[in-house]
Amino acid sequence: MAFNKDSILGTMTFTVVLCLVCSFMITGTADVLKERKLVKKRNELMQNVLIAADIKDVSDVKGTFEARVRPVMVDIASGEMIERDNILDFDERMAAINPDTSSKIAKDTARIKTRANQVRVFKVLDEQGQLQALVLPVYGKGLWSIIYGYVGVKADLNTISGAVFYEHGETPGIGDFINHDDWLAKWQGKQIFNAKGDVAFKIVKGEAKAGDKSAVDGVSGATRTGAGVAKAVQFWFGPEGFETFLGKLKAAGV
Amino acid sequence: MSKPTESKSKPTAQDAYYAPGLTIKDYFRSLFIGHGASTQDTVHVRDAIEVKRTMTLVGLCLLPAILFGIYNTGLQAQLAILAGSAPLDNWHQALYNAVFGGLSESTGIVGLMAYGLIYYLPIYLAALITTIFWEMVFAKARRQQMQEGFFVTALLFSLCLPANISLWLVVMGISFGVVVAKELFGGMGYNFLNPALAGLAFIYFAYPSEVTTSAQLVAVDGYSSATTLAEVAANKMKFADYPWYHAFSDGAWWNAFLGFEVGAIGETSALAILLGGALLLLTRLADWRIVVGVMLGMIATSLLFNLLGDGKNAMAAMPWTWHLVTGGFALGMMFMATDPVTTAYTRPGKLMFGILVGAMTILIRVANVKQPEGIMLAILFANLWAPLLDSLVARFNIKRRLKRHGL
Amino acid sequence: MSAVLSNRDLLLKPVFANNPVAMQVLGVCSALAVSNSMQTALVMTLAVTFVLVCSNFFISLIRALIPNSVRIIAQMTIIASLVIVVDMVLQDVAPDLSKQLSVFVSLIITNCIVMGRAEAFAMKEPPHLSVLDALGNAAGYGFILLSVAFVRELLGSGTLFGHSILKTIEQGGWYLPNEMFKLPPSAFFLIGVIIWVVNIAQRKRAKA
Repeated sequence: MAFNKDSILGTMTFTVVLCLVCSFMITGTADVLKERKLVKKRNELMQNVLIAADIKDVSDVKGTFEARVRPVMVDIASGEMIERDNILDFDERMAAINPDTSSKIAKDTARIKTRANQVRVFKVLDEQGQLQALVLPVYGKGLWSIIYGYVGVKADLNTISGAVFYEHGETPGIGDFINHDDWLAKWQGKQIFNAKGDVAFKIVKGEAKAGDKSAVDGVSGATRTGAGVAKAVQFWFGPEGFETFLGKLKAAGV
Repeated sequence: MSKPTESKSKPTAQDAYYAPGLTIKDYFRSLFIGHGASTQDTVHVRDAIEVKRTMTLVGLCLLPAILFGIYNTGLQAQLAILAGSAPLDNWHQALYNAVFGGLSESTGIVGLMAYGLIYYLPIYLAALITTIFWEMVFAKARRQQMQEGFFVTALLFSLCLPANISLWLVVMGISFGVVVAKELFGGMGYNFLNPALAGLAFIYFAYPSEVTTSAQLVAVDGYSSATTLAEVAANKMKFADYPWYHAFSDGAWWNAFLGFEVGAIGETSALAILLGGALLLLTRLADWRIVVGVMLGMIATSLLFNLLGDGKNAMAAMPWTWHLVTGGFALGMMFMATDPVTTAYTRPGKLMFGILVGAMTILIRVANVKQPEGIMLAILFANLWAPLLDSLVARFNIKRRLKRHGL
Repeated sequence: MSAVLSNRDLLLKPVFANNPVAMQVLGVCSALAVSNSMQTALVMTLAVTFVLVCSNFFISLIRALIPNSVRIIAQMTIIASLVIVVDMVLQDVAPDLSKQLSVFVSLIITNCIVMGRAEAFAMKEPPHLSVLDALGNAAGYGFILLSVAFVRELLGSGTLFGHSILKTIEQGGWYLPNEMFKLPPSAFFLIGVIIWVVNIAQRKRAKA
């Protein structure tokens, strides 16, 4: 029987075969790249944490990370640290949307709807093994997309040691200033909390006032992107973020 | 002077005027001597109104605004110096000091005018020479006559600039306006955007740091001052419980109306512009429908925002009387929106065009905190809509006539 | 395709005379978005070239088997799969660039040039001609993208491929960057100018 491509059976057969072939092609590529991707992702994570902790120019990222960084899980509600195996491969994104491991946010200033009950943070130690910086994940919605990043605070749990935004879908060329080094450099030394202990960090329109210890310059034309980043920081250092955790750490006198 | 042409009868001055090949020379010659001949037959030209006279008349109508702008440039510099600023260190200043011996408290109106002129004239000349250059290039390339539109284009463009602007920016802006917005589309009469505004928009977007900084508004050193619009946009000037008619008993409003405020050279005085604009309307060079439309659109939209405003945005609470006298609104309404080439051609279309300009101006002023001035973009936006409005009007007319004839 | 074109014509015509961006005004969206630097423009060109060549080749290969009623869907499936592969490889090889290009790599799926060549050429012609046609069109796309990016990066940031050419005032030089060239609308002007130049050149040649 000759193959009639325009018959119903012919069309069905063709579609099924085409779909199978294409899906094999994609899964095949994905599989080949998967292992590399995992390693890469982990390396990127280490790199990002080190940048946020203001440890730069290290040749051996992996070695430095293993020697000086201690990843821990933090329970947001209680502020307690929790042990967990294989913490580097913990999937934060899944945890944040899985109803079993996340909870709804009451005051959703960062516009992320739910957040994970337990979040992975990084303690960065100095050469002597003392706490040098604490790197916390922050994310929130910018203009188009959710912006993911890390903000590091020094041992006083207030002064920013560095920040990095590693994933976003903001307007290319306009909103992507958030991962430019010169802009992120302006974060260093700024203080998240004011004297009263409230979150004071903000990104201002235009240039920040010279004496303002908590304000970073905004970029005109990308107001919403900047506001999204500021709100993300404000949320994650606020009462529904790491406030309890940071409070406990301070009480413990680190 | 007449050259033999192909016409059968003996060549007249008019033939010589239209004779090809004398483009540039012709232009300058006929600037002073027009062709006297008008039609003798059954077809009558009522008046020898043509591009050149139109443009000369528009220039005349702009004169009050120009003169006031020049005076105000000097005045604002004087005020700034009294407030403790130092004069600029440039050739303008050197020239002024050499002739008039510096700007001081006692400088009179002549001295102030001279100060303004020393800043304004180079800007205008730069704009004019650049446009003439481009017109020459394109007239040569097309083997056409030079058209007089550039005279007004350069004038309008220069009036929208801050006094202390770099001349190379003037050249860049007007070049973009003339070449891209006008000549590339066929030159005079074929442009769909107002060339002066297109040039202005170009430098606003290309060199925002050079044009929008407040330091350039006044021609003295390091004196930063804001236009009324910028003050309102920054919520420094508030209009809570300020009905529109309060403006008439408000000294600040009268100041803004008369033009004693900081701003681009020719846009500060609503009075001078309205005076010139009235002449423009009387001579019917500008269509009253557009002006009425702009006013209607502006008043309606600002009233709407006054009602909707939540008090946080001072611009939303700004009454229409203030909108009228701040920024480039008056200049744009009278002289730029009414540009006969880039507006709609049908009468209802013109009215709609005006309303669109007015409404968009207020919308941009209120909604766009980054750029408090809206009339420039509003007119460019409406320019793009003009053909569409015409087409709508035409289609509506066709339908109505079909109906009338029972088709 | 009324007249039979020589291989040379297939390859060269789409670069200038029948340029997909300039003459058919296809694929303009991505040309506006990624042409603010040479690097992104180059990577984008390579990605489009790969997708275009492969999709034309595969579609042409199985053109006799594609049922008429589902042909557009079949083309889309093949193109989409190729784009996903390109996107994944790019993320692996050049993660930074892939981030800069963001959605525009995925948007190659909707790039009219790819669809257009598949439907207009590959469905009718044998594989080797389809590949030539794809190469020609990709070169045409790349030509526009790179020329626009050249002007935009040079005038907008004073750099080329990230290397400083015109020293900007910020770095202590003399050049004041033209901010407009950093914004996508400037690509409109530039593409317009290119279309103008190509049109003039064509008319001259037609006269001669």
